[in-house]
Amino acid sequence: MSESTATPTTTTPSTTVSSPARLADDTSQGKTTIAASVVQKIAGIAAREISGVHSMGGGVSRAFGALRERIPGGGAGAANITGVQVEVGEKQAAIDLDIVVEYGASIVELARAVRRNVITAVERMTGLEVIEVNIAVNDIHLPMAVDEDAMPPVQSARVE
Amino acid sequence: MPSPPDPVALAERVAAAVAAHPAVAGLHGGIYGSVATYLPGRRLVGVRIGEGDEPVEIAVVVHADRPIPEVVRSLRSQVSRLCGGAAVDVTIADIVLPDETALDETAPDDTALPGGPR
Repeated sequence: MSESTATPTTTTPSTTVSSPARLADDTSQGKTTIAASVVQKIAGIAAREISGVHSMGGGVSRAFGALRERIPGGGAGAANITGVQVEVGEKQAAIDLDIVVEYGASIVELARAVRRNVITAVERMTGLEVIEVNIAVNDIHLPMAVDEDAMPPVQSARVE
Repeated sequence: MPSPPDPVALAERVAAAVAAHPAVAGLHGGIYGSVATYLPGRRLVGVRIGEGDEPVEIAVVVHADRPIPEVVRSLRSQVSRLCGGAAVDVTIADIVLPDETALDETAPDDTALPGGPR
């Protein structure tokens, strides 16, 4: 997790959100560092909360995530951070999400809802200002399970 | 206020105070595993008492049930009081979700991280 400490431009895009300023005022009493995995977990959970998000991660990261869950000590939290990349500075965070949507959801509306929920959750929980949430919709999940259930009775009837 | 006589005793007192905080799930070695006090025979992970003007460093894993800035503020004021008003660098190394706690007791996911305790 690369910890890119605040770029010199941190003060310019201040959108006067009330929460991030709270971390800034304690610099004289010491620094506060929030690890990337903290932001990853919060963002991952917030994204999954939106109905219409089927799962997270692109093809490769989903495969690795499935693998990692089977490794002892691979981390119980690994499932939560699949498909979430973050960059965390001292006052700001940028988040990239890879999501798989359910068939039938409006992707534009869904992305907007995911973005809103992720920003709210991360800003409230960490006090960091979220400067951007990039969402990549990698796949769409079709309700195949329903079709598979409907198929066998038809086939067995034909064999008999 | 008497200046802290023994950094070892102070580190242990800070570690006890931090671990007792309701929002703290445990101490942690920090992002690079560098937050630790070296004691004879063992390593106290999660607390580093700076020399002179250096800040006191603590690194913790917190529970996900409350905002981090609030937790940091309360930890900082508590530790600063113990250390005679020194600056306190706080690292939130990880977060424990409510449904994850049961898993953590059997297989702590800190073992995968370089900075994990023990």
